[in-house]
Amino acid sequence: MSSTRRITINPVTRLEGHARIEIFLDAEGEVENAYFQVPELRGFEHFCVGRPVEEMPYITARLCGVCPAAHHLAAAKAVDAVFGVEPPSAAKKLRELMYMAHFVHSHIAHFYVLAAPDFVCGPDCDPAQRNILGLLARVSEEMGSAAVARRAEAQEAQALLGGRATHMAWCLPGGVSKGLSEADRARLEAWAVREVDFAQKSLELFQTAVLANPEYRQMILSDPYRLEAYDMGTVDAGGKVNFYEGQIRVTAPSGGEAYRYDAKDYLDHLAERVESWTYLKFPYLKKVGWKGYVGGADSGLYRATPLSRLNAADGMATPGAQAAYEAFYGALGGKPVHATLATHWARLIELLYAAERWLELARDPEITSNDIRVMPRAKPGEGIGSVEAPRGTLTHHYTTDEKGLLTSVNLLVGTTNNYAAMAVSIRMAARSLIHRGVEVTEGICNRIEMAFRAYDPCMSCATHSLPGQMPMLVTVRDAQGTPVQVFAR
Amino acid sequence: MKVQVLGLGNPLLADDAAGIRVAQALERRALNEGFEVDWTEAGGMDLVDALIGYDAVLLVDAMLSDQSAGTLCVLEAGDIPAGQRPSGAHEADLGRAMSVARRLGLKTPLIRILAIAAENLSDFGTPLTPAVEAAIGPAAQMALELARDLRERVLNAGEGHGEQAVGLQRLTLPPAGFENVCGGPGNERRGHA
Repeated sequence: MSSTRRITINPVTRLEGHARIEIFLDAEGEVENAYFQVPELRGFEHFCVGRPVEEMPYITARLCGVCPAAHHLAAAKAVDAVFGVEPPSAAKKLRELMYMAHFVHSHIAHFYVLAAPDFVCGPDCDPAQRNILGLLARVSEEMGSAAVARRAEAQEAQALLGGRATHMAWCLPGGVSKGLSEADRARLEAWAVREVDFAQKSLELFQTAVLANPEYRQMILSDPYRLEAYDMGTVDAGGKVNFYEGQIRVTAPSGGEAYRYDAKDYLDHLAERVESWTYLKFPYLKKVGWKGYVGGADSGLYRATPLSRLNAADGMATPGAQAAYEAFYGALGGKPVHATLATHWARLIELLYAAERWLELARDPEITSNDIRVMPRAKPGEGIGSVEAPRGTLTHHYTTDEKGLLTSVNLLVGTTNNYAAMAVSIRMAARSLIHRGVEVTEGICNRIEMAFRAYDPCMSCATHSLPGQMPMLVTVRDAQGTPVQVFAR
Repeated sequence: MKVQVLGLGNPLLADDAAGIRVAQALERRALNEGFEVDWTEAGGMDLVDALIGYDAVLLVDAMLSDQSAGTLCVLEAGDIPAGQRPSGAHEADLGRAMSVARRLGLKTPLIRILAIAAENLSDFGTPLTPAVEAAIGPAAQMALELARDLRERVLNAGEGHGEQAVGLQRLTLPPAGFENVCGGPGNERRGHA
């Protein structure tokens, strides 16, 4: 039996999704392997079977308090398909408008609460300071206040359109239940102007606080945080990033299109790997095949993140975001970019795109149209709906009987796409940072966490679990398994 | 003056529905006494939006702990075992969210938490476990008393009640006939039997 010692990064949370990182060291003190584990929450599909399919946009939104809008829309699109109905143009635009507000809300939260403290405060900073409060102290109260205000307005915009912010009651088969008045359109436009300005300022902050620092720039581009893998994202007819609809495009690690398909054909392209040590399944590209936890052109491992969406697309559909996209690839040596930590930058480019698209839609003459629903007439059957969730491509797949009662439900959620990639990224970071004789400090554990934090993982829906935070307890054990260091997060 | 009772949880996820069930159980009585009652699945920074504007808020939530299922615990915001930062999933914990709000100049309410020890937070579509179900009525009664106490404190403190430590000794907790109350942090201050 080999002699190993184990380092566990463990949650101490009570209600929220539990997850932990296990790092196994060999007898030499080097990292042998690393695992990212999440627990099981049971019975969601079973709970849904037998229910009317039109309830799914409301039920699935309760899978998770973090991205309810994504589930609401993926479910709505799947339900449209079940009934064979195409919503009118104005309804699609309204849905997309609400979704842009959701993206703005989600990406602001990730950058300012989760990502920026690592860079602005520093990865080795005292964890008591390495948080949003420390961030506010170092950047400016004005920027912090703006982040809170813009985020709150994005939340209010979702409520204005969807009826409720967190769990909207809005989408119906073939459209939406409520249109947009001119007064509310004007409010949405005014908010969008501020969101665009804030997104541009956030990109400037990233430039000055992160990219201008040679140490951070080197860290972003360093090998431990680099994973060459396939990239996935939804693109419109012109190949530009689209969050609401389009085709799924997969590009190879060397760049260039590998696959492009309609979401309804996802089972032709994706398969799921089951492991005994975790409840999550690992999706991979079926035609490339599962080759284990490795990147490269021969491995079906892929990523579906903001960085992946940029890599998989030919550009952005709005002017400011396109300029930021060009600056991104210009600074990082061209496409594709495989630096995992560059995902934070890509996320801010997406923030700008979402804000600009929000503004475009708020100014669209059709957005206040009353033609917002086509009544479904066809007999229900099977339907697949897909959107880009903030954390990756989200697919809902339902089948029903002829009365529209669900007979099967399959969800492939955003974070799940990246599960294998996260495991590899954690292992790579751990192997580069932990060596014999090196004390495993809190800063080292944080740098390992940074490898998966870039993916913005949300175990809430990946495990069909509760929303919320994932505080961590880092336990370092010696060769006998005895804890020798504990870091409370 | 505005005092809110806010039930937290997921109504589809077994015992996690407990906070929402308690808020629904006391809704009419609380409204009659001038309290606001609501329930939400939000957490972290989203919760700030639900709390700002109130003088005091009683949060009611399910809790995983070493207490037996159905045990009621009264906590202050500082009793929550909060992380120093969220590491992977979204949002911030309650304490950090409120710190951010205060830092940005928002007036935060006086907060108490009525926690109900849960047994099952894993199975979608299942009812409350029997012990948690049995605690809903007593929890609703306790929540009403806590809301009254919060209102009295705010009235007595006037402006600037802030985060001052306050005891709960004037409460007559737990409700008669219900003794399944934990002795967690801060609970020694309570005058229960």
